[in-house]
Amino acid sequence: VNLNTAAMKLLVLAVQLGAVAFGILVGLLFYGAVS
Amino acid sequence: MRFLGWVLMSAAGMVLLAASLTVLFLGMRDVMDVGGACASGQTGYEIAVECPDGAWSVPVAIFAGLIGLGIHAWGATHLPGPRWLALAWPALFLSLGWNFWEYGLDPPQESGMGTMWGWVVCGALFVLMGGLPLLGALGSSSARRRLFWSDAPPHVTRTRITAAELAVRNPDIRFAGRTAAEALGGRPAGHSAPPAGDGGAPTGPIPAEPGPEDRPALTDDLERLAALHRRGDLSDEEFRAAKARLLEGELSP
Repeated sequence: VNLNTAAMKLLVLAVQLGAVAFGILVGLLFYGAVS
Repeated sequence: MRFLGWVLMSAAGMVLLAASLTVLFLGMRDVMDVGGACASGQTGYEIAVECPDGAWSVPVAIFAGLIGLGIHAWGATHLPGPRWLALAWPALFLSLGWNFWEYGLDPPQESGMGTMWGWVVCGALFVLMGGLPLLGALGSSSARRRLFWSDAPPHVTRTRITAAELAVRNPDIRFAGRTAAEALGGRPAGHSAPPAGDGGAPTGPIPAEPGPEDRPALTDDLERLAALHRRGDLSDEEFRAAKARLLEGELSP
């Protein structure tokens, strides 16, 4: 599998963006629960 | 680990990192709401300001964030695309610097205090500490490309090739002093290796017939050629010319 294609880079970029958004949501929910 | 595994690992680390930074940001605001310092638990001193409920999560978030950073970095070094490790530092200092600025310019305490210059100075320092590296990370097109559109590193994209394939790609490469063709021709065990260098046709036994049938045809041809050369039926020049023709014919599209 060729990893250095635009599709692969976009895929990883999208996953990382999703991870950031999901992480912020997790942080908000966690802090809301403990505070 | 395969591609999907590295994607999941880097994403999991990023979730932990982003969650930790969020908790740190919110926890800091809660502590600043009570004046910026607090204490809790059993102490020998009288506690002036009790910590808000979630304050314990602030130090926890620091370590969790570092762990998340490590997990993310480990996974991301195997992937193409974003390289966001360099953004963690600006994210930390700019988000906390925001708090310093906001609370410094507009303290929430009911004591009626004006601007908290100590916090404003901290805010300025944090913005510099986070902003300057961010400018560096975004400042040039090559830096931006590295940040968002990197190639997967060579240790991931590198493919294993056999000695025969290497010989075809680099006919002049030498293995322990022998040319690729000679090396591929091989010698039965127990016989000494031919002398290094290009001088004259080496003498010695004719190598064994081509090996397993699944070997590429080119390898077999190279082996036969090398055997003829070694036996003396082909001069050095004839051997080189024949080998070149063989390789060109095989390599041409």
